[in-house]
Amino acid sequence: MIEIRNLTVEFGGVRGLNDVTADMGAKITGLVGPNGAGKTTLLNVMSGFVKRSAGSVTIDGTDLLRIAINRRAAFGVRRTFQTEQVVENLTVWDNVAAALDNVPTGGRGRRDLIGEALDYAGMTRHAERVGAALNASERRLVEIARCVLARPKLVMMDEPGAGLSESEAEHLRKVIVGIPDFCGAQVLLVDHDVDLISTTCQETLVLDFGSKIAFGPTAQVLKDPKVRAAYLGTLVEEAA
Amino acid sequence: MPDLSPFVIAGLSTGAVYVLAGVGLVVLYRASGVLNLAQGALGALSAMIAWQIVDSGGPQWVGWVAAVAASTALALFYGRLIAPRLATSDPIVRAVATLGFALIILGFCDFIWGEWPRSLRLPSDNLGFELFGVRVTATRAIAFALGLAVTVGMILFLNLTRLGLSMRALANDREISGLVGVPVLRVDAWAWVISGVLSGVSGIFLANMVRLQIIPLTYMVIPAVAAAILGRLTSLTAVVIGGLVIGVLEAVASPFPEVSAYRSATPFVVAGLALLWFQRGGLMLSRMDQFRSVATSHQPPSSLWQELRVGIVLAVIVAIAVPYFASAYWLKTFTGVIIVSLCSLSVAVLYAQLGMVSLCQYALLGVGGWVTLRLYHGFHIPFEIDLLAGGIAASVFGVLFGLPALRMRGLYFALITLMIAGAFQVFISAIGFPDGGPGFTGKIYSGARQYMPHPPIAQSDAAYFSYVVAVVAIGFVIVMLTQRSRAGRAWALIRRSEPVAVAMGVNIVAYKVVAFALAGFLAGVAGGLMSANIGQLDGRAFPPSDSIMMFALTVIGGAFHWSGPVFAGLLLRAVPGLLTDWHVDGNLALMVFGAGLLHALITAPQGVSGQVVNLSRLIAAKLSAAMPRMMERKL
Repeated sequence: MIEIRNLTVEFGGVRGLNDVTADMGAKITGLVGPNGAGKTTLLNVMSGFVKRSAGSVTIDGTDLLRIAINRRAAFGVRRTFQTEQVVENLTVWDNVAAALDNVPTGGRGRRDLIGEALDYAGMTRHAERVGAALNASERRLVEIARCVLARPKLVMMDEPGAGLSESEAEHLRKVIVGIPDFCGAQVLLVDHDVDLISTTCQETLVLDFGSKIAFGPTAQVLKDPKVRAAYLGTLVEEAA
Repeated sequence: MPDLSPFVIAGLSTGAVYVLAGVGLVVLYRASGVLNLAQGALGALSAMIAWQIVDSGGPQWVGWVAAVAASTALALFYGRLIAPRLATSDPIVRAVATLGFALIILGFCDFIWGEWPRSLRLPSDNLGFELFGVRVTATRAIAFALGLAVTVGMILFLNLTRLGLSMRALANDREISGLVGVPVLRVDAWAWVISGVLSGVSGIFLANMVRLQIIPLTYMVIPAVAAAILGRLTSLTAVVIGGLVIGVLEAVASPFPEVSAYRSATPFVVAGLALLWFQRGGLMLSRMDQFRSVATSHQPPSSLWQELRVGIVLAVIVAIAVPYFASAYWLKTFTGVIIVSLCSLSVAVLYAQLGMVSLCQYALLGVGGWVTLRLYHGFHIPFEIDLLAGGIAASVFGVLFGLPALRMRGLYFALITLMIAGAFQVFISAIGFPDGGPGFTGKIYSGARQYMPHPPIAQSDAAYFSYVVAVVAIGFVIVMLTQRSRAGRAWALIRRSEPVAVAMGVNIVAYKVVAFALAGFLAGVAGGLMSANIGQLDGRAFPPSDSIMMFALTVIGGAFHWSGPVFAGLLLRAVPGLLTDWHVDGNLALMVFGAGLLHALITAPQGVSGQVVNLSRLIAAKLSAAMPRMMERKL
């Protein structure tokens, strides 16, 4: 359970997030909104890269924002970034091992944990290849393997499907959908792709100019006229 | 208490010249993103030109104009033709590239003029007035007025003119400025012109007020950098305060015999305190995706055991073969090569694994050597323990002084290490290296200096060569093992991107400390080995330029493969010997190395070793492709 209460972020005079409140209990929660709506800002507050001006975030009752930023991975918060961040001079295995180095293993063997994560992402046969040799979709899968290790509580993904072909994106979608059942984590998924959101997310939070304009079951939220005006409306304009 | 007012007045005027130079640094850095570490070298060149023209009987004003014109033209040349090739690189790379330019200018000046102390007189030296009972020469008054006037002028220029507005736009975001129509290259060029003029003018004043000698003038960039750091490389007002404070502190230390020998370390102390103050707000992460970090190796890592086997076999062959073939002179030289390659390895670990630029590794070698010599002469402890202690001492020393900068962005770390190198030279030339004397410094002031012999198990020069190869090989093995450990993986993440590393739970500062401590240890051990090779070390032989050369040659040799530091060792120790044999001026080598650093940073980030490794892989691939065809033909 992720509880966001009255979260506000200010950049100079601009409000990056404006009094956002949401209780996220779904296995996969979507986070949508036009460019500059505050989606990545919300992720950055949870990661600790951006300081809040007011409000709080708790995960299963623990105040997340009081945890030192380099201890949040060990606490159970993992994420991917808008651009892929696979280490090019490490092998796939070492990329995942590097993520395991700084989180508790829960008494399980390192090799088992890394092996299971690679298996889940379907990257086992690439384990000995270096990051530099991987294509875009393989890189995304390595990042997922790094996120699902050793029982995380929350996996945040920032536009994981960007730049992938349709079939690659479809495969990635299946892998993302399976994350909660594989490792027990909640997933927070940022994406522009409304089809992806509506087929994967049980609940969705819509932001616009830093404010919450809707939150609830995905189908209901996407029908909301305010959402259509703010978000889908701009899409139609862009298409025209 | 002596009367300090003459020193304060002298310090204010020297400080004002630091302000001039610092303003040049900051204006250029803000507009073009390049911290021009060649500014001192440009100043030295212009001072020498001014001196040469007057010395050849020309009128003084022609000398000044020609001097400033030369430094401006060279700055513009670099800014227009070389700097743009690195426009998308990390700010650290762009700053250290200017060191290559500085080496070229330095080598050129020393080749033409040599390091003789000269003096540059200005007509205003004979004019002056009384202020608070102290005589002030017109030169010092002009310098002070100029320092303040230029700063005020620059602030007005940046805020009121169209060009100034463009410069501030570039400082904010180059790419967006270009997109909205700011003529990026033209504005850049103007910033280089300002920097060139200010380095020329400040060079002439410093040559007059401090002394006219090429290397010291080249290092005059250090107080200017310290003043710039005080303004976080952006604030001109803070540069004024910084420059004046440094100038005054340096000067008022002169009448106190306890500290006067160390007064040139003031810039380091002031900048170090400033960094301690800045980083109190917590860790500063580098912005993600703004720059591709310094070049990384994309070669598949070979298996550890395979690499270790090859390395050990090579080390054994070298350890046996070289003493057999080499003359006594070359054996000593090759021992030096191997020792220096360990120091180069310490530079390479930081640069290749973390993209960190350390410009103080040769100074850390000196720290290790000092401690080794001190323990040996003072307590007659076995050499191996002295060596270990030397390594640990250099490691602790480096971490202690480097720590404030490790929490800041990489450029500050490079700058603070440059200042550590500068401060180390000041201290070591004051206290010297221990040679069997009494007291803390262990220095003999009258009578014969004592030598430290080779260790008992390797008394002959040949045996000591093999001993050194063994110790250095252990250093390389330690690095290879660390690279493949948890620390190595954390380094790789940090290098990929600091925010990503933090999000994956890496304690960035802790792992940077581990790297810098390891590097310090390797350099310190190299220092101990070096003192036993020669028997003693010379306190005058540790200028910051040696640490800069160590960095430059490591990049040229190639930081990403174990053979790179060995190439660097050969370039640093064997090439000068060859040049002496061939009667070639060593300053030409300096110029070639400077050009080599620029070349490596711009087009060959993997260095010589990378090119050799690629070539051998290419040949191996061609051979294995050609083999079946040849077999076919035979059939």
